[in-house]
Amino acid sequence: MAKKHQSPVRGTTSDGLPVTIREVELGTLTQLAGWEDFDILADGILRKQALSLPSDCRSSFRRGLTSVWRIAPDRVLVRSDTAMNFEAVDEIVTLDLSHSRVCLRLNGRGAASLLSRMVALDLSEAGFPIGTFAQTAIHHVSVLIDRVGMEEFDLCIPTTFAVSLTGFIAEHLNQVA
Amino acid sequence: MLRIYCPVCGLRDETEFTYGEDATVRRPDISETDPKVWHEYVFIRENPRGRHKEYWHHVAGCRQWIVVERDTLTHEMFGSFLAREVTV
Ligand SMILES: [Zn+2]
Repeated sequence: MAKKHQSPVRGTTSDGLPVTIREVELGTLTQLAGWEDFDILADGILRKQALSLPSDCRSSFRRGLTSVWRIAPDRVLVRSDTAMNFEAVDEIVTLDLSHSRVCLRLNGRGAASLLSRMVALDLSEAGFPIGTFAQTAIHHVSVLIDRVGMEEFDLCIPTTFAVSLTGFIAEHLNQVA
Repeated sequence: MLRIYCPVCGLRDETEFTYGEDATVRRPDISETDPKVWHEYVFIRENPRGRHKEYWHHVAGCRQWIVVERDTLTHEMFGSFLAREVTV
């Protein structure tokens, strides 16, 4: 049984850098998926919400509290603070995933250092610039990592793994009360 | 450790992928009635040394199927493409 950690978890990495792990409100998470004309159709739907379809699968599109991540060539995730009423269009499937993910925020000078202990990604400023995201796995669980600041990452993790994964990440810190 | 280039996500560790199968195998025509042809399609595989095309699934990343050309002897990678964009 995984030990349950009380949010926020504060601690330091083995190189002495402080990190805070905090569960934050995910808001609404909507997936749009499609087929051949995905680029045109999805961009049209997003533009009606003053958003747009990112051209690549690495840059996070941001407007206010809304983020758009193109997670595959024909799939995007939209995270927003309020529910969005996306126009219903044939050939585009809209799916509410709000309950399927939990958002963990890693913040502090040791945030990148902590993550580098768990994911095989280049977390340097050049390798993972602010405003980009990556889908990868932590402890074999698929996660989406969004670099929102030099020392801040948002992790979208499956709700069913929220407790155990928070524990797994926290175990990598020397925790302070 | 193998590192595989995903056309969507970039260069990633092999642990993020699942091996699919030989990407050169082609299904016989559905009207084929010779059981030997189907037997070979389902069960018989080469175990080539050298350049080979394989399906890999980027299961922890973009979830796309990709075709990777890899040297099975040296593990050198020659290229990867989205499977749906390839006619192998
Ligand atoms: Zn990928």
